Amino acid sequence: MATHWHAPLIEHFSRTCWNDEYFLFNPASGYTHVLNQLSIDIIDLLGESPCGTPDILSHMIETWRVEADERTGFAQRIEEHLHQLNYLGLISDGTFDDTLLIPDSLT
Amino acid sequence: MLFRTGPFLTRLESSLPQLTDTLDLLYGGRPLEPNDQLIDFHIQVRRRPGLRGRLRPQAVFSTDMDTPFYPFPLDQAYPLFEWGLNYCIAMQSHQYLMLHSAVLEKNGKVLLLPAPPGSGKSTLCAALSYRGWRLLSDEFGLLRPDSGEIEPLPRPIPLKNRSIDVFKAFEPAAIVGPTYPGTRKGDVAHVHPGKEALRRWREAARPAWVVFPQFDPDATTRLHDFAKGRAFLKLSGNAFNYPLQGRRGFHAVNRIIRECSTWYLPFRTLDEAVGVLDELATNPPNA
Repeated sequence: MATHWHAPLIEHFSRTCWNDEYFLFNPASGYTHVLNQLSIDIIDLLGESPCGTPDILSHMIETWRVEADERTGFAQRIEEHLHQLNYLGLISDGTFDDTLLIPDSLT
Repeated sequence: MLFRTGPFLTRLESSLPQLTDTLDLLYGGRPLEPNDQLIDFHIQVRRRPGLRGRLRPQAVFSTDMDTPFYPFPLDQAYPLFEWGLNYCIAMQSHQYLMLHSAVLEKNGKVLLLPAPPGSGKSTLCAALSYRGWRLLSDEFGLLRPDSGEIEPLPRPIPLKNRSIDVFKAFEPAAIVGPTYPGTRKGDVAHVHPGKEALRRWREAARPAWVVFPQFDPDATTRLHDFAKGRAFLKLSGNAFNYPLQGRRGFHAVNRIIRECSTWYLPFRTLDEAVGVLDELATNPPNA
């Protein structure tokens, strides 16, 4: 079955941007992450609606205006970013349990 | 003995002259405190009892039934007390975001000097405190996350090893306590925080400059732009309780980075560094 990515915590994140780097605070983990533009674009896209890897890829190819001869490498970057963001708990591959959300009052 | 260090009131029980004499010297000029207030820290520094204590005189620090450190040699009772007070503040004062930074004020604006050990931060802090800057703290930047102000915590400034003589040469008139040789951090001596700093302990102020200092005998002493993203990481990463603060810690650090200019200052001598920072305070360049 194809992976269906989503960003269930996006409303709880706090973020800021300095010098083209994004600093994103995740209250569920207590960690502050330093992210690049592509990571933020992926999180924002998944925050709008869940989607699979091919949809993410085609959206990013358009957003980032990726030339045809660069798309194989770009697809690999997208895959790597998705797995890294999932590992960090910033997006989910569909197995996320939203009962684990901590209340905002505690953060 | 009841005494105040910034927002904290400490009740100290000790009859060790090795501690109380130095305390009187280095906190001399502090305001007297009435006896009917809530106490933040209850601290005892006592001579170790029993046969071992008689064979090898040692001092034991305890607070609220907790003895967090191994005993120190008796003649190091004062540095033991200062490190123990640091421990109490770091463990209990989570109403503040505790930045690991020296903090000074001039003309109502706060200078943050966050830096790791060995950077010359404390020596520079002591030098500035004797050249017209008001000491808020050498170690803890007590930031109120709601207001963005830094609360003063004026305490003696610990200098280590070579920096003791460097500072004494810089300011021969300064009140410096005894040198404690061979402590766990090397030779240590403490500089009086200044009567003005003790008297104005209620006057919080907002940060205007974040400067990362680094002593370098080969450097040209001047300010360099320091990228705000890196400043964010260094400031949050070195705060004592940033992870505990959660979202408000994130926003508090972000506010500092947004409102302050951020710099790196390699410095060759204390005089040069003080000159550069005075210039920053009176005639700030565009960051």
